[in-house]
Order: sequence, then C-alpha cells, then structure tokens
Amino acid sequence: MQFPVKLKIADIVFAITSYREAPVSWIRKNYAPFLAEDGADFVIILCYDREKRGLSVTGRSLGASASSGVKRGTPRNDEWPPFTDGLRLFPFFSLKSLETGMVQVQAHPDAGIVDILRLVCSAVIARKGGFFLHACAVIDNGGSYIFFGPSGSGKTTIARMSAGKIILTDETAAVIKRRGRYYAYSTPFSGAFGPADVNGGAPLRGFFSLKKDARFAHYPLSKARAMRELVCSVYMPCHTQEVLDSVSNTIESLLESVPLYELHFKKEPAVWRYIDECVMQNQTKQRYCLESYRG
Amino acid sequence: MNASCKIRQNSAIAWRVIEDEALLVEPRSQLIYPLNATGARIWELLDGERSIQDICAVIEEEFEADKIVIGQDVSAFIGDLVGKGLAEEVRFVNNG
Repeated sequence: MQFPVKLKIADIVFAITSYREAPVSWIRKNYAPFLAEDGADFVIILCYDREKRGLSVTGRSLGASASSGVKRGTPRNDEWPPFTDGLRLFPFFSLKSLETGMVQVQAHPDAGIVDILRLVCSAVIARKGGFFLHACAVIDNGGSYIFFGPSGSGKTTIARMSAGKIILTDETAAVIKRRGRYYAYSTPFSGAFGPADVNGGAPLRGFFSLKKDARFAHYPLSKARAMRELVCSVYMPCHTQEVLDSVSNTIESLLESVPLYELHFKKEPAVWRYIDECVMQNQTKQRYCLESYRG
Repeated sequence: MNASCKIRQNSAIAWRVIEDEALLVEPRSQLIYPLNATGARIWELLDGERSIQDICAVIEEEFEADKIVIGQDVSAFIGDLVGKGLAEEVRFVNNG
C-alpha cells in the first residue's frame, strides 16, 4: 500500500509516496502550512530497506512501477523517528539523476523523514539553481533579509527580536531565482523558534553573517569571504564537484545583486532600526530614470 | 616532506577558486577548507608531475618572500594537505 502527500516548498511541489504510513502522517501533522494540492513538479518515492546503512537516491523514469525491485522494511515500532538517531546518512547521487523529475529513495527504516526530505529537497533545489541555507529569514516591508551563521550565532535570537515582521524560518531558508530576482522562502525545517506558519517568500534585500557582540556594526565582505561564509552555511546534498559548482555558481550570481554584510549585533530589538537606518539606507541607490515620461 | 616528493590532489576533493582564494570540500568528513591566494596557487600546482621543489620555485617567482621561508612553509603546508587526506604522494611502482 502506498501513502501519498504533497509539499510545496519555494513554489516547488514535491509529491511524496511512502510505503509506510507513519512518515506521511508525521508530515501531515507537522508541516501543515506546506501541504499542497497542486500538480507535482517532482516525485519522491520512499522505500525502506533494513540492510541499508545509509541512503541511496536513484533517478527513475516517470511511469515506471514504483514497487518493482524494492525491498520493503518492517516498521521497527509504531513510532516513526522524524530525525535520524544514531544512524549516519551517507548520501550519494548526482544532480543529473534528478532530470527525470522522480527519485526513489531507499533508506534504512530508522532514517528520519526530516533528514531524508531536507536532503532530497536540497538536491532538487540545487538542480533548479537554488539552495537551502542554514539561516533565519525575515520579511520586512515586502523584502526578505537572511541572517546566517553556525549554530549559536544568533539566528533564533534575531527571529525573536523580529516581532511584527513575517518570520519565514529560524533554521533553513530556501534561496532561488524567480522572475529574474532572488527570493528567500520559508521551509518546513524549523529550529528552536518553532515551525514556520507562513509558506511564502519575498525578493532578497540583504544577507547578514551574524556575530554576537556588545555593539552594532556592519562590514561589507569581499566576494571571496562572502562566498566562503555562504558555502559553509549551505546544505549540500552531497559534497561532490557537481554540487559545489552548482551552489557556487548560484552564490556568485546572487552576490552580483544582493549585498552581504558581516553584522555585529547586541541582543536588543534595536537591531532592526540599525539595519534599516545604518545598513540599507546607506546603500548606493539605483539610478532613477523616467525621463521619457516627462513632457 | 622530502623536497623531491611529487604530490597530487585527491581526486575526490571538490574545489573552486574565487578571486584567487580557494574552497576545498572533503566529501567524507563534509569539511570545508578555505585557502588564501598563496595556498590556492600551491593547490593548483599539485598535479602529480611537479615535485615540492618545483612548486617552491614557482611560488618564489610569483610571490614576494624569502626563498628559505617559502621552502619551509610550502613543505609544511603540503604536508598538512596530505595529512588531512586532501592530497596524496605519487608513488611509482617499479615492476621491472
């Protein structure tokens, strides 16, 4: 028996079919804002194999029987582990294998559904010219701002100091180009701040590499440093040349249009006033040109 | 490391140069190693054909520093890359 569910992340609809009910029930219960009924852009078939020590992902042709040649694992118990516990995932697949629009994931029954989804979705988004970033993303005045850094750098703190704004995520943001501009989107993969209650995104206005400090300050980073910091915070589905090239190309293109600063901040709500008045206002404004409309 | 050793990049390492600096990504540990411009140039020269001595000669030509310092630093740096599994020594097997 197969159990289906659809998730929409960064405007990409993932149709997930599982041979076990528990992960699908878990998704329905925990990822409600991301459930979708739209036509699928990508199909993920989840199969389980007790002998798998990690995870393998293979591209499948559309129309192929989902159950052929699949060993199915026996559920360990009724409780589904959303996160992988004590089992390291060794993912390996090429982005080219995603061309068919469908993958079959064979995982150990103990592999957490969150880990599997984040991995496969990050590969699909990389294939589409975007990436998942370990970051907090907030919408303010119609634009989105991304705050990133390693655990403990202040992502959840920024989310907590953003009352009145739309908090997309405090843990994993999706970045992808839409209609010629880069957007930050929410994802269902949340941190200590709690799950996102918004499924959406907005054009990116700025990136901030977070540094906790006793003062407010910001410094523009060189392209090389910005690239290094971003690459370190990107979820790479696997660490191959193909994935590094894909992610680096996206970041290089992104840095042409979106500024990146190192932001030193203290734990005060004034951080947003600082960003508005000292960082964004001082950017070089775009050249104004509406001469042809003048009489 | 012996100056006559020939070293090559580990082919499993993903890498990229950005504005003269390099990022190396090790697939098994999933660690990312940033290299500055000097390190990136040395990395590019690890083709398995050049010895450490040859690489030092290129660095002496392209960078402003004392020859002895370059010799010591380059050797230590390459040793570090090998120690971390990012590069490997080329060993020739004589079957004759």
